[in-house]
Amino acid sequence: MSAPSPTRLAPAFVAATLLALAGCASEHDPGDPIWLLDTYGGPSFAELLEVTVVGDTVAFCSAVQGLNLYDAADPEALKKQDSIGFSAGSSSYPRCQHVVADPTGLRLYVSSHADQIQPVPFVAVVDAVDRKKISVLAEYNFDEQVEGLTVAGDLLLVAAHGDGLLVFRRGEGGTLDRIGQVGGLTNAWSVEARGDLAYVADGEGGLAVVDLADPAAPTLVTQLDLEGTAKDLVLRGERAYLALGSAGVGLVGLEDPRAPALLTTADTPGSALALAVGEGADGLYVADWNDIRVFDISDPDALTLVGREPLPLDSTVDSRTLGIAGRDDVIFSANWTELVSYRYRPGVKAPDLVVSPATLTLPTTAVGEQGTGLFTLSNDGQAELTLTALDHNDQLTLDGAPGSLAAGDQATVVVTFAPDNDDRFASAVIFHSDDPDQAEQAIAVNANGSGLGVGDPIPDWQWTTLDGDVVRVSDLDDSPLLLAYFSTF
Amino acid sequence: MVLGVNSGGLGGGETQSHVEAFLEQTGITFPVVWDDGSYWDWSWPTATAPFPRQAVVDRDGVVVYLASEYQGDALEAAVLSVL
Repeated sequence: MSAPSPTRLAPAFVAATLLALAGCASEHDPGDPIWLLDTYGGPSFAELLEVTVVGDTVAFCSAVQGLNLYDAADPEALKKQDSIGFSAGSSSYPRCQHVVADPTGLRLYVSSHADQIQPVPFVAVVDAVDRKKISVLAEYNFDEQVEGLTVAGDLLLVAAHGDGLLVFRRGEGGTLDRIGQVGGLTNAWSVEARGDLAYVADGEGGLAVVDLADPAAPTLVTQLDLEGTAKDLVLRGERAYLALGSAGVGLVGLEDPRAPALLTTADTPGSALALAVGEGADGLYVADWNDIRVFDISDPDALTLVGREPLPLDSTVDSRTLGIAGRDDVIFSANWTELVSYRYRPGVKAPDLVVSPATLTLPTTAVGEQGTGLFTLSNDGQAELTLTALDHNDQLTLDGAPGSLAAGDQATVVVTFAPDNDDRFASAVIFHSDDPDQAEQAIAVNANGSGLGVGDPIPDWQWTTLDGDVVRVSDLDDSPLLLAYFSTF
Repeated sequence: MVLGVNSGGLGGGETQSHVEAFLEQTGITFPVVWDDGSYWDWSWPTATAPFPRQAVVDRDGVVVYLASEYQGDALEAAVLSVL
């Protein structure tokens, strides 16, 4: 295969193309195994979190807009049913973080940990008999950092990070009576139950098993160490599937329900934070921060990547998916600003091009000098990918682009920047391929922006530690430094 | 080393108790500092949501990686390149 031949484009054309491509990144193609059905949301939405299927309804939590219910009987035409906020701790925002339904779908339970937005951790009970008119039956505040929750018969189980697992008896009228707690866990994020056992996604502690035969005195049965940070799980047959953060997805055998055994893991490029099973489609759906990913789990001993679908936002907006749900072949994803529905068609095999990073920042480079950067091209689909062309600004040279990539293969492309002026460089490289739903992928390439960039020396900044001491960059040891800018909400 | 830099949250309203609760919740054990302004000196690749963001600096003090949101594989490659 010969390398695709570059063509030269004016920057204005590139900018216009970036915007145009962004708007049609996910059109339905009959050759694609996953495609976008509908989106509901927009700039007024913010930080959608857990999403769950309740019959024909999809319920999701938002960091600033509480619990929201949408009619998803037709997943191509999502319709709002109702939303509700919570007053726990006099939050300035009606937040919720996690939501589950009881088996009847008539009662919902939501939770939130405490942070800048939500001052007090809480669990609330919601009457959803009429999904167009839901109401709060009860709210309970906690000292513990409550997180994911699940209904187990007449019990409600709540993961509580370092405080383990909290056990409640579900009463008539929405009451919750706290009857038990099990400690000894590492960092409980999420929980599922089967029979007398609870399975806990226990953060750095992996998968924990708790015996609930006496719910007032639950006991820790065992812990299975896993790579990464276990944040979510789903049970199916004799299998548990776990979202392991940066380590991807784990597949665990439950042939002995009290002694789970790791079968395999599948790394993902982002951070796997939530997952769901599409029962009738044998699909495992994963929220991997930058995209949603589908694994074929028709073989209970394997995780076979089918493909991924990017978030349907224009490339000038940062987004992330933090919640995902499945109803057979329909996938619901909660991203930064939208509830999104997709359809998965099992058995369809197609190439799926992923370009990393999503935005390439090149070193600060003067006229007459050269700066370089790298793209990694991955074919995350199940059929061979053909790269047909590359478009880019003539101040860039690209080396190493293959003509084709087998399913599962990767290639590295070296980008060399030789500026002909001192202006800020904001351009794009456009990858043309036979990826059925992203035949053209435009990746922003920036250099020589204002402020500190790649290739620049770090200034001798000073920061204040949590203890109130001042630390300067020059105080640190000489090892490489990773600065992780974060917020708590 | 890894240094967490708290860039203030919504409207800059994060407090000691917010951060301590967050560290307990996430199991983070690396040191964390309050940002006294370094965030604004960066030429971040995009600028819609202010966090999370990451920068990798090599042994010579030169920035080798700058990214918005979280791209695990790209970040891992950058870290491995400076070790």
